[in-house]
Amino acid sequence: MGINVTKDNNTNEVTIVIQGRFDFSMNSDFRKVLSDKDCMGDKYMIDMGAVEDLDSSALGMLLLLREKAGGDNANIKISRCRPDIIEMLKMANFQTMFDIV
Amino acid sequence: MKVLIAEDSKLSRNVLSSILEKYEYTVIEAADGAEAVEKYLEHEPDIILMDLMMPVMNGYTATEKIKKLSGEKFVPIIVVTSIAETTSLTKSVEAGADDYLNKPYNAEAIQAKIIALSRIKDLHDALEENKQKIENLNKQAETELVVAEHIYDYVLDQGVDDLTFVRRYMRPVTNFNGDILMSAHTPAGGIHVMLGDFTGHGLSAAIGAIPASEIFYRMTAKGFSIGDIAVELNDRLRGVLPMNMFCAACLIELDVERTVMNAWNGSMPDIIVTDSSGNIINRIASSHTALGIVPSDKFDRKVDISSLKGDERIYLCSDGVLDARNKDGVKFGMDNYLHAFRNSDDHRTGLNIIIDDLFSYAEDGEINDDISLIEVNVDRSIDSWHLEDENLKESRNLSAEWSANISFDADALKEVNPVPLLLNMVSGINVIHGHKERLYTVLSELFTNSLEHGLLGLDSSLKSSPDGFMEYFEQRGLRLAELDDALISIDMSSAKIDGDWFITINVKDSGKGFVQTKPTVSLDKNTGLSGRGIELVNQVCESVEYNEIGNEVRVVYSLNKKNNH
Repeated sequence: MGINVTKDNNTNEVTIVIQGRFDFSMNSDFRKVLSDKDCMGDKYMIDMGAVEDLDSSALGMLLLLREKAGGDNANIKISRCRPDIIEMLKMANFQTMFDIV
Repeated sequence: MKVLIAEDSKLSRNVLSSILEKYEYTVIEAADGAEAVEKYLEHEPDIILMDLMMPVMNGYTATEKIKKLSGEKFVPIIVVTSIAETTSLTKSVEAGADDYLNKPYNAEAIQAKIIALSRIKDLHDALEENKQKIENLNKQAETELVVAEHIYDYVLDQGVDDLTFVRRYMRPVTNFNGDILMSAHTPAGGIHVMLGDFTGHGLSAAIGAIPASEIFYRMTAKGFSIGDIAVELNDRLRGVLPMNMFCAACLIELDVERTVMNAWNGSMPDIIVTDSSGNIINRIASSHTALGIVPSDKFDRKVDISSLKGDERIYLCSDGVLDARNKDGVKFGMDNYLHAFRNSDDHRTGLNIIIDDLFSYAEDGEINDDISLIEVNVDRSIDSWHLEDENLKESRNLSAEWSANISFDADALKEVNPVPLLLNMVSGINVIHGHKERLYTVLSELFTNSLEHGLLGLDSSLKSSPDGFMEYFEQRGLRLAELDDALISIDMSSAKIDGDWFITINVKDSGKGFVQTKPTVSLDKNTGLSGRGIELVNQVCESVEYNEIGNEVRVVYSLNKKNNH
C-alpha cells in the first residue's frame, strides 16, 4: 500500500511506485511527494503494476503531477498497468496527456 | 495548580496543607462536604483531596455532587481513607472518586498521586479539546453542506422543464450528489441533455455546478450546439476548478425531428442506444478528456453523429454504476450493464432493470460513488415540443416598419454558428413569445435549405437510409470545407397592410437553385429521416414562394393570426 519514490540522480529520472487502491486516501501522501523538491526531476516513470483500482481523484493527482512537471512539456510514462486500469485511463483520454507504456 | 482539601480535622488539614505547600501547590481548605462543594464552585480547583467521614455532608455525597457539577470537565478526586476503611473504597469509586490515599499522610505518596492524576487530567483535557474541535468542524461542515446543497438544488432546478421522457435514477453517496443532470429544449425544438460527474462531492461539486448549469441553459436557449457548449464549459471549469478537479460529462443533442443524435462523451462510460426491444444498436465510447482539463486550443469539440428512427432509448450513466462492488469486491462492470438491456421492453425499460440488477448485485457489497442513470425515451420525446397556440395571443402592435439584413459569405458559413445570430434577429422583435419560436423555426429551416441544398447540393433523400444518413453528414462537412465564393443573404422586414402586421422573410443563396420537393407524408405520421421542416414552414406562414430558378424564397408571416394551423 502507498507511494514509493526513488530518483536516479544521474539521469534525473523519478520513479513513483504506487500500490493498492489509488484513490482519495492517497491524496495527502501524493501531495507530499509533489511538494518535495527531492522528488522532482526531468522524467517520470509511474509504476502502476500493483495498482488495484483507480478513482477520479487519482486521475486528478496525475494531472497535478503533470502540471508540476511542466504541463504539455512534461515527460511522464505510466507503466505496467493492468488491462482494466488502462481501460479507465483511456476512458479519461489520458493517453493524449501521458505516455502509457 | 490549585488543590482543594476537604477534611474535618483541623490537625489533618494543617498536615496536608504544609505538605502541599512544600510542593508549591495553592491550597484551598474546606471543613466539611458542603463547604467543599461551595469552595469547588468558587475556586475551580484542579484536583481535590476528599476525606470520607465529615459532618454536614459526607465525602461520598460531596464527591457525587462535584462530579455532577464538573460535567465534561475532568476534576480528579482522591479520597482519603484510613487502612481500616478499605470497604468504603468501592463505594467512593462508585460515587465518582478517581483514586485513594491511605492515612497517615505520606508526602511522597501524595505528590506521586497528584502527578499521576494531573497527567490523566492533561490527557483528558487534550481529548476533550480535540473532541470539541471535531464537533465544531463537523458542525461547520454540515452547515456548509446545507449551503452547498441549497446552491446545487437552486442551480439545477432553474432549468429542468418537465422533460418527462428523460427518466433518471440518481443516488448520492454523501448528502448530495457530485453528479448533475440537465436537460432543455433548444429554441428550434431539439433537445439537449447533459450528465456531468464532478470529481469529489459536496461543496467542490457545487462550485462547478453553478457555472456549468448557467452555461448549459443559457447557451441552449440561445441556440448554441452541444459542441459550442462543451467548449465554453471546458473553458469556464478550467478556470474555476483546481487542476486536480474536473467534470466528466456526456452531452447529447436530438434535432427537432428526432432523426439525428449528436453526442459528445468526455470520460464517461459508453452511451448506449437501444431499440424499443432492448437490442443495443449503438455505443458511443468516451473519446474526449473530461471538462476542465485541457486548454481551449487543445480542446476537441468533435461530436459523434448518428441517426435515429424515433423509437430508441438512450442511456447515460456515471461510473458509479459500473464501479459498484459485490461482496467479493468484484465490480458490476460493463458486461453486467449491457446484459441488463437484453431483458428490457416497453413495460420494464433498461433503467428499471439496471437499478434492480445493480442493487441485488451489490447487496452485500459496497457502492462508494454517486450513482446516476439516465434514460431518454426518444419516442416519447417526439411530441414534447409544440409551437404552442395558447401563446399566440393578440400581438402588441408594432410601432414602426423596419427591415434587417444578415449575410453569410463562404468564410462565415464555415466558421460562424448561424443559429445564435438568426435567433438574435428574431428575439429583438417586439412580439410575444410563440411568434418568436415560429419565426425562428421558419428562419432556421429556410437557412438550412439554402445552405445544404442550395449551396452544398446535398440531396435530402440520401438521409432516408442509415448509410446514406452518415454519407449526408460526411458530404456536408467535406463540401462546406471546399465552399468558395458563396453567399446566403437573409432579409427580414415588418409591414402593416390593411391594419394587420406581417413579417416578410426573404432568403437567397448564390447557388444554382434547388427543387423544393413537397414532403409526401403528413407531419403527424412523419418519423422518417427527413422532410418535416418545410412542412412546418408551410403550416405557419401565410405564403411560401420560391423564385423560378429556386435559389430564393419569400415567406410572409402574420402576427395577427391567433392560429395558423
